[in-house]
Amino acid sequence: MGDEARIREWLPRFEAWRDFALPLIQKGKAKDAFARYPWFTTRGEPFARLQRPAREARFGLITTGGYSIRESQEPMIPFPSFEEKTPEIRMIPLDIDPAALRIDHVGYDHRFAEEDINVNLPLNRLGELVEGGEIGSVTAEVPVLMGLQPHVAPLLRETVPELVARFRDEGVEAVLLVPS
Amino acid sequence: MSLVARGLEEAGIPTALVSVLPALSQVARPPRQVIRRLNIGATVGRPGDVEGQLSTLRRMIALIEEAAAFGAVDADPRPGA
Repeated sequence: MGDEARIREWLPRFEAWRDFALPLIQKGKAKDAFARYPWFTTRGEPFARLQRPAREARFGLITTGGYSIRESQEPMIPFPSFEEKTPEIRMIPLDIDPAALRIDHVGYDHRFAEEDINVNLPLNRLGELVEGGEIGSVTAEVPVLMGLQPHVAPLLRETVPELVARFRDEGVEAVLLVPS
Repeated sequence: MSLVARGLEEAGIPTALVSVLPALSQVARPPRQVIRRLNIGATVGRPGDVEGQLSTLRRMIALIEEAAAFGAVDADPRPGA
């Protein structure tokens, strides 16, 4: 069964769960709601190999920390989407001043990232790995998503292909993923 | 995020995911995973802990370079182990 067929098979279970979960979440019982979430995964065991040493390769980074740039970008929507809605992406430059970032993710304590952005968005650390010759290069911008996205269909149908296209355009050979 | 990792790998781009909640990240079966015993909201390392943050990234990079097969995991030891 291909992934699209698996998604179509999963959707009725997700919709039934959503009907069950939303009233609980509105009562502040998100943990009880997500305890019965119908987890989904794609088929097979995809495994790609790096084609040259990391010290020569171009790396990308993705985080689901919910960051956006104050004033120049729309804030990210700070709560889970239960609808057929394409997840938002914000592109954050590697040399951004952390003070220019806002965080709208409701699923974690922001104090750590406000003290040191590298805890979730390791911009400085990646630059140091490049300078030290441990990795070849890093993309100039980092795609940021919002975590807590229970409706995986638009993520798989639209967001993942968009991320693949962005990374291919940038010549990225490996990606580090930092959930929040 | 595990689904994103799987989609990138399916497209030929190797990945490594760092997780502080392996019970959640594992259900969607990421191809490579570094499991850290850290706080939600500080997945790469503690604030100001430059070496700790670099260590997480280096372990992710090492998994990308060295893992032999799908499902590779580099996990922090459990306390007392």
